[in-house]
Amino acid sequence: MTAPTDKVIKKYVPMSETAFYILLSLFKQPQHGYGIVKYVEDITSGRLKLGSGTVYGTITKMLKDHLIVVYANEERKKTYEITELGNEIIQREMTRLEELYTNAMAHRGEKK
Amino acid sequence: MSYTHFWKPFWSYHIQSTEHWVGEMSKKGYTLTHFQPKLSRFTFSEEASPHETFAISFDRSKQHPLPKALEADGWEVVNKKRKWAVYGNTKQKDEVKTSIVRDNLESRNSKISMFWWAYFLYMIFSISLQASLLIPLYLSNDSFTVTRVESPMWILTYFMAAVQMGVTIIGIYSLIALKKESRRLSEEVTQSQLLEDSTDKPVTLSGERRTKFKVGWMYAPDKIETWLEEKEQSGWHLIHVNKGGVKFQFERSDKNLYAYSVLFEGRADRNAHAFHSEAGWERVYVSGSSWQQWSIWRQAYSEEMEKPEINDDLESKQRAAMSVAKIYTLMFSPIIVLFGFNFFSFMLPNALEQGYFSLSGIERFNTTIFPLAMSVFLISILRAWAYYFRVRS
Repeated sequence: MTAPTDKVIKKYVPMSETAFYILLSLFKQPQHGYGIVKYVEDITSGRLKLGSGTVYGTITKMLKDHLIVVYANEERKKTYEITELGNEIIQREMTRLEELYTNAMAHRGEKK
Repeated sequence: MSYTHFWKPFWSYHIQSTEHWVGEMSKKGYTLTHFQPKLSRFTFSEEASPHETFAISFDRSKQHPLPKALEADGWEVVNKKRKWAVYGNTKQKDEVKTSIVRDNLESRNSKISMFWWAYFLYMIFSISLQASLLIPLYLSNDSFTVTRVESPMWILTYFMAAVQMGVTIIGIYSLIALKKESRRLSEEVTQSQLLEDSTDKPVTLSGERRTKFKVGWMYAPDKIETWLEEKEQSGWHLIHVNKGGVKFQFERSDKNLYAYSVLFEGRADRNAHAFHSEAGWERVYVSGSSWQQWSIWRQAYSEEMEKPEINDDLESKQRAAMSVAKIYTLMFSPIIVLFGFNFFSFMLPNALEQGYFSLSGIERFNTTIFPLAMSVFLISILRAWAYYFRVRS
């Protein structure tokens, strides 16, 4: 692994809830901007309604760091796709969250 | 194998026709083997090209990624040279579904335009400075003689004059070409992404009207948001903002809950605006310029809902506020320094020495207006930073 990649990983792991859900929504398939907002609202059962400015700003940052790439789809709508690096980062973050989850559950179990 | 070279000056100002030209060349049985973007040189070999459709992309990071979706649609990177790359597709143009995004190119073009505007501003400034020195000489009745000393060095003067002329012509050409290019690039975007302002024209309803003027709200966007929201809550609905962004027209209506958001962008961004409007925001104002674009957005909401915000996390709010504070500091501090230097080293000593009232009309005017302008600029900078610190806390 090259040094700049390590730097990017350090920058994103751990990541904010917003960043996590944006990257997660691109994990399975490419999405356009509003698609991300809808997807995140959907999987959090309406709890998280991301502001479009927040999403746009985060996407711009992720594009710069090469976590995602952009292309225009059939309707010439900007569509975002996760890169290898983005994939690597979300996987690491998922592992971290898994650890959090298992530990939380274990401690909750012990208390009773 | 035989190679043919082409020199295409300013090819990047006509990206679509350059792409088309590479396509035409490939139809004639030439393959682009090499290109030197900086030298505007394109080298073709006489062999059949597998590609029918071409796209030229600019990427500041020199990575030239190929998204999987583009690859699946038949695209590949044919040629790369630093920040430029030629993407080719084996399919006919109308069979190709996906395309590359030209944001990087547009931002590069607008930077070039900005450079040329700065150049011409500097030219105007220095010409007027020289004129202000020479014109009194021409207008005075005293006769004067100018002696031209013969020297071989005059050739340098002529040479520099020719260079200056050449640069100026290139500059004018660039500005015109880039203006047209920016229109062409914006036409690539489908109609659905172009926004119409809902309040572009004042609605002709016969309700009770009220007009308010607000100047300098850009330095405290959060305050104008609150002001507009309070207006709506007290039953005054915003119906029109004039182009200059100072005249706000309201109409008597029911009391409404609206969330207002003011946005600032260093470069006009159609895509971002299309996205916000898709997300339910209504654009009520957008400033005319393509750099440093201000826009005002609103969205109705109900009491049971959380108040919507365009930037809803602290990080993006801070980033937005920081860019406002930064741009005004960068823009105004050179003016303050320039004015301050003039005022404190010439005007003020002069006024103190001679007494304010014995100064000539123009001197008196300058001595008054300079500190006034300086404080207006200084206050604007301070207000922008105050806004940033309000957002941060």
